[in-house]
Formats: sequence, structure tokens, C-alpha cells
Amino acid sequence: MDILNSTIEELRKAMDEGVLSAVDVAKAYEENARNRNDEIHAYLEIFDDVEEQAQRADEMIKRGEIYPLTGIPIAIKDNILIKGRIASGASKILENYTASYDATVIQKLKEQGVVFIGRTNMDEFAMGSSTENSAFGETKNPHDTTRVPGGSSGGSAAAVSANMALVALGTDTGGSIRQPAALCGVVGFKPTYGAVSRYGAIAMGSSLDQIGPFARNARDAQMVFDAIKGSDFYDATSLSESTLKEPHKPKKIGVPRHFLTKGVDKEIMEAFEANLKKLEQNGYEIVDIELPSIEYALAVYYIVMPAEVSTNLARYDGIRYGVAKKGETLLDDYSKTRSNGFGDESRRRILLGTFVLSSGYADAYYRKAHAVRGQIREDFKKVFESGVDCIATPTTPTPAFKIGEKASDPLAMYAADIFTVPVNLTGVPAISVPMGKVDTDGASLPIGMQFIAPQYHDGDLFEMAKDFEKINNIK
Amino acid sequence: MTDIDIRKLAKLSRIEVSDSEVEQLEKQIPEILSFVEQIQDAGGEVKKETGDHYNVFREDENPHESGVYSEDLIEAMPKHSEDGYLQVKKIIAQD
Repeated sequence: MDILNSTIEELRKAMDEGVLSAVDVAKAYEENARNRNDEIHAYLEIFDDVEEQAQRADEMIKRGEIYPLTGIPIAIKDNILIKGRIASGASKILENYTASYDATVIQKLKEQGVVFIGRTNMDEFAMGSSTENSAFGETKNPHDTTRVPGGSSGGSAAAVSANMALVALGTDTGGSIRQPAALCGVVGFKPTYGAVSRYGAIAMGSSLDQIGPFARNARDAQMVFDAIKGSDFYDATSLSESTLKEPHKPKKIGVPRHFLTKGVDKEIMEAFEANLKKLEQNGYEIVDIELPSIEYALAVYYIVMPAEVSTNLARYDGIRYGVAKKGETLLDDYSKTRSNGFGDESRRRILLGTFVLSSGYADAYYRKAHAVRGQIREDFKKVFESGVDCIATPTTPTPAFKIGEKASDPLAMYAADIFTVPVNLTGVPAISVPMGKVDTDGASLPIGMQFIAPQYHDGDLFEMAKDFEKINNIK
Repeated sequence: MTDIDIRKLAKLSRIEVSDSEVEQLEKQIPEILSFVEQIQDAGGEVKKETGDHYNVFREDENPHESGVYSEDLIEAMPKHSEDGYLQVKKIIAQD
């Protein structure tokens, strides 16, 4: 059996029937992860107890205590807390921080007996679209190692893409799951805001952040989502599971073509249109839709998000945890710790957030952005109320770019998230599925199709994505 | 374009910035702000209250057993005393 190219359900069956043990599965993944990590740098750390974890899973299977994910190897983004292990957020300021508790999603996965392979690289505190903002070196795209894997969950996307984990968790604040999924040729899912508990995820933009899965197909992603979703006493914004709607396969797909005219590569638009045509031939109705305020989404995002970042990152002062640098006074301790610990992009966003929230500017920036965010949400609501079941866009305007290409131009980097940020601003769910490859400079690079559903219709997206895979003959 | 005092923002943010960083940020921050300023052209009424969301409070009851998490949290502190107190520098000066 080809362990590295099997789905969760295939491995489940093989492990339950005794054809394979969880140790066999874990060893295959750990070995591949160790062999490829020098080249890809998907992991900041590959855990040294992978085999022991797998042995525990085997004992569970022997006892008949079997859950859908028992013995399944999974990679975890370095901003999700696993008790007793380092959780650095790929920042120097937390490089020595050992998690004091389990995130709720981790606790749920532990109960199922998954095997954690390691913690994956990311942009520092999940701020970036290329994983170049990691304090510990960039991750490389497995499809072309001179290019970025996307970000901020670039390590998780690359790990799944390069068979260094079967599935992975990431976080998505403005596209940080879907964009790297598209650039690495895997499936990435951002749930409805509140569908998954954020307790134990290192906070970036609290009104935007969601934890979600990476997988090589939609069914595997759905199984991870099913394992981590649900309300949580420790996250007041989490939704009860009954809030989520029963899944229905979408029929009518809306396309905001007015929003797809600027800055999108010609090859990506051609692939997108060809895929829409295929969907039409398979019985879907494709209609043009208008989202009048969506053109402001990126600007709104780069006000709301830094405002929340500057607030959330205020907690890193070197007093209660993390790296501490000493100065003359307590105030010096704070400044020295923070100056030494935060990288360039974090500093930029903290200053930007401090500015948009500052007295005299908050009305023109933060409060205005909040009002426009409300308008964007209304636009989406109207479209969905008009009978459109889901919205389709390319996930990204370009395929993976070269390492270093956009590193010194923040605005160019921010534009990579143009199609993904509206989803976080409105709180709706979205999925990115591979929609083929484009040839650029001798490299063949994956690209993604994004489907967006109304709030609470997360299940519809898996039906949509599974059918899309079937139409495209993807396993 | 809005005139930005980077040093003041850095001070408010408790971050030290070098001269060369100030120079770079004096270019980058206004560039980003001039991009986001396009929202002034958008509709949407600015209200004084910003929330569609409100705090969800639970009843102040059934506390967890005292001290069950203390050891794990104290362990993470860069500086703490043997009896579990967080240690910081003196913040009130003596004359």
C-alpha cells in the first residue's frame, strides 16, 4: 500500500483491518518529513515522539476505541498551542515559549488519537503572504524551491503538498490558509467565523482569525474540519454545532467579474473561465453578480487588521512569558524586549495599527473601515439572498512568486490577498481547491479556485469541492 | 498625505526604532495609508458605537479549583520568585 498517497479513509480502513499499523503510517510520514525538511523547511520542529504517539494510537485501535482520525499524521502551524511543546508563532519573542495548555482544536485531535508530526513554519505571528517573515528562515514551495509557498501558513501547505504530513492545521486571517493552499496545489478551508474555537491559537486579528485544515482532497479536509468544529466554553465567539446548516450541493454559482479585471494574470483568468465552463457543462448555472463595495475590501482589511494586531501584540512585554530583555527601567524592559523580538512586518503593522486607532484619526480610519466592512457584508448577503448558492473567484491573482520578489514592497505583497480578504471581513466560509497549473519561466505552478458560501453553509463547500474534484478527475 | 511622526508611534507602541528604520518607515507607512485612504470614497455611515458584537458574560460562579493552573503559568514567567510571584522592576521611585 502506498501510504504517502492514501486518503484518510483508505488509511483508516487499512489500520482498522490490521493491514497497517499507526506506527507504519507515522514512520512513513516522519521519514519523508525528515528527508525533505532541509530542502523545503516546512517544519520548524519535527517532534521526537512521533513513534510513541503512533503506538498510543495503535493501542486505541486494538481496544476498539476508534475515531475517524485515530493514527492520522497531522502537522500543526506554530501558532496553535500544544501543551508542553514550543509554540513560537515563528517569532523571536516567543522562541523559548512552551505552551502552558492545549488549544481546543488540539485537545479535540488528541481525543481522537491523531499523531502530531511537528510544528510548521509561518510568517511571524501569521503576518504575511509568503512565509518570508518567519524569524527562522523561509519555507520553499515544493513545486519550485526558488519560489515561496505562500503564507502565512506556508509551512502547513508545503508539508501537505510534499507528503510530509497527510493533513495539517493552519490559521486564516486574510487568506493565510487558502492562498498557500492554492500556491502549493492542495485544498485549504477557512470555516465560518466562530465554527472552530480560537482558544489556544495565538491571536492576530481577533475578528478575522479562524483555524482550518489543509489536505490533498476535499474529503480529507472535511474530516479534519468535522473533528475540530463546535462551540467552546473558552471562546465566546464560537458557534454551537447546530448553527451550521445541513450540507447541500450548490447549483447556482455567482461570479463577480467586475472584480476580476485588475491585476490578475491572464493565464489564471483563462484557467478560471475554462473551469467555469466545465462546471456549466456539468449542470451548474453560472451567473454574473455585483459586489459593489468589494473593491474597498483590501483597504478596509489593512486598517482593521493592523488595529487588531497592535492591540493583540501589546501582550508581548517579556514579563509573563517569552523572551525577556532587560533595560534600566520597567518601561525599558518592555521596549527592549519588543524591539529585539518583533520582525519588520510585525513592527510595521503595530505602528500602522497604533496610528489608525490614535486620537484624531480613529474616525477617519478605523471607524470608517468598520462602516465599509458592514457594506461589504451587506453586498454578500444580498447576492446570497438573490438565490446564488456560492461565489467563485480565483484564489490568488498570480501563481507562486520568487523568494525575495516582493519582500521589500509591502503593498505588492498585500495584493496577493485581494480575493481572500473579503471572506474574512464578512465572516463567511470559503475553500480553495486546485484548478490546474500554469507555466511560468519554465516552472509548472499550481493555482487555486475559491468557492465562497453563505455563513453557516460550510458543508455546501465540501459538496461543491468534491464535485469539482470529480469533474477534474482528482482523487 | 498625512504627516506621520514615526518616533511618536514607536514610543506609544513600546518599540525602539533606529534612525535608518525611521527613514524607511517614514516612506512605507504613508504609502500604505495613502492606499487605504480610498475607503473615504466608499459609502457606509460612521457611527460612534462600532459594535455589532457585544461581550458575552457568564455568571460569576463555579470557579476552577484554586491553583490548578498556577504551576504551568508560573513556569512560563521569565522571572518569578520561589513562592510563585511574578517579579518586575520597581516602578515607583524613592526620593
